[in-house]
Amino acid sequence: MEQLPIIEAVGLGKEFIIRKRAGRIRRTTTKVMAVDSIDLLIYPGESVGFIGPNGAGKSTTIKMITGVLTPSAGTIRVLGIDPLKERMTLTRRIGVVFGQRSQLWWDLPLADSFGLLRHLFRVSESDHKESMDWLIGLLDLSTFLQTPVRQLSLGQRMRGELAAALAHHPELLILDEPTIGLDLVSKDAVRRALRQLNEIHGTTVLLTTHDLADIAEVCGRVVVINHGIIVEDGPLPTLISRLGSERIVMVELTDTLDPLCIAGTIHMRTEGRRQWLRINETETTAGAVITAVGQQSSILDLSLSEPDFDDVVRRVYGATS
Amino acid sequence: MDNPPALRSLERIGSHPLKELARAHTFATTAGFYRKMLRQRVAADASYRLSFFLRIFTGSVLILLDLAAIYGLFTKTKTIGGWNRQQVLFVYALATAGFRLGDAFIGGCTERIAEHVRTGQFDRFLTRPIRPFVLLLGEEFAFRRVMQAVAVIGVLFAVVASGHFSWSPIQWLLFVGSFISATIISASLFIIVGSLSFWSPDTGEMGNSVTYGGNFAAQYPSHIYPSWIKRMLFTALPLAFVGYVPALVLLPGVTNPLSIPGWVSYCAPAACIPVLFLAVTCWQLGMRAYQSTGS
Repeated sequence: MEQLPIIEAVGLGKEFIIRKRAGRIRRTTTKVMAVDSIDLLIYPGESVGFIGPNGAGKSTTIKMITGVLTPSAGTIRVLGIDPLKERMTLTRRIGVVFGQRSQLWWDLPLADSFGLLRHLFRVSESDHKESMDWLIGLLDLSTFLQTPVRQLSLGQRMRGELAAALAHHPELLILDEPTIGLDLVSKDAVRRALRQLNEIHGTTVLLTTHDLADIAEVCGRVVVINHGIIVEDGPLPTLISRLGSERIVMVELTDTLDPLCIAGTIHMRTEGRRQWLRINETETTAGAVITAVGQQSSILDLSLSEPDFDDVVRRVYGATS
Repeated sequence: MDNPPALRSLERIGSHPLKELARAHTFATTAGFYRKMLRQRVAADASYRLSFFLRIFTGSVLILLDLAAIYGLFTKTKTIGGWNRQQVLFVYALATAGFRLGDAFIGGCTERIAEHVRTGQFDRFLTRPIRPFVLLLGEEFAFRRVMQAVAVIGVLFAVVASGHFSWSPIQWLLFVGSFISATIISASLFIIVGSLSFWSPDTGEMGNSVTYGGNFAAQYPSHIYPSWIKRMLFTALPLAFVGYVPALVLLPGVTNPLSIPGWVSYCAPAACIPVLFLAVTCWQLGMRAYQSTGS
């Protein structure tokens, strides 16, 4: 039997009307297309990353998926439910984390926040204890469970936010910029938790980010949004090879040679016995290039530069704007 | 897109008693959650100990100032619009006790909507399996405001006790009804004003002048005012019905220059019904506006 999609958006669109003062009383209204028309199917167990420049429509899309915003066009069903009509039913089955806005209670220790959430989601005491034990281990919360949220570091708070969103065992976890502003260690903790959640518990994950490393480590699929439409959709390596910076191989040869001419590469520069080649990964692989160079001369040394994520993001945003 | 047949038949169970049971369960959970939130709020407020006591103190001082104003007035005059100090105090206390109670549990929370809308924090209220309104009331509850309400309720008790009224059961019912009606009207006005923030977050000051200003006007016998204020207190801001109008039949021997019939006084608490209806409508429209525009 074919699996039903967990998120099903068809022609989803959102138009905002922005009023501006023009003169004393008169106002002009402009329509802004925040989301143009999005078709998106996400299946249970997937882990999907949304990327796109600021204002591309990521957050608006997330808000329509969670039932916070009313779509102005198209249809959206999440877990088979219309998020707007049955928002409260849906909130029981999904977890939501807004990276820039705390979902926790500012004055309360994390442990108390979880206690309140247990009531809110009507989780039984024994189930709650079990999931707390699991989350405390997964997110390493034990050292700051009794600290009021306002005193937590950003990294600790974000782990708390994740735990709060997961305590009722949602089938779908939606995160809007969960790693924004975090240091590397905290980012790593968040990514590790998300990966475990997706791989071991089968929770479907949908996140937005500006950090491609989030996607590389967590998401099997990346969806690029720009100007309110989906411009790319597929696994990250495919995206990188389509749009990403090419890898560059440097070879140090035993002799000074004329610029090497290897299929699928472009010669960049020569410095004595060293030559730099840009690899077009749709045509060849680094291994094949090195073998081909080895047939023309013997190689003393070589280095291979990995694609730079920031550069990829820049290209993605640049290529689609 | 239609649901598959199996789901549709599930939806048809809609009016099943089980669903009623589930609804009752939901209500119990909501009430339980609200109670738990309040307890947490008080504990959290109390964790800033000095400011907690300071706020309770300043809250009570506000009420003392109200009383001082009335006492001050009556050092210069024996009556206001033919009503003596005791009678004015009764109108003040009856109109204000309910108002402060509504302010404590609703007003203090709804005035925070503007900020939540401006910062986009209101999204959070929509991602929880509870009515956003209940969550708002729980999260923004401030204990210090309750102290103001407690202080005025104390004044009301004192005024009633010292009045030695010989009320019939119907009059007692009217008294309690007026207090409840005052609470509902005050809550409703706060909800209406708060809901306006969904369209424009800068409506706060205007809102205060409506709610607090209205209460101030309702503290004195309504017939002393110029006709436009009178008209307002009997229509758009029907606060005359929670203090002045019931007082006409609750206080023996007061003058009634507006010649309000007795049956109107006895029906006065019903004034809260249209206001409450308007409040619910405003809230729902406000939520819809927020959901279509976002922050």
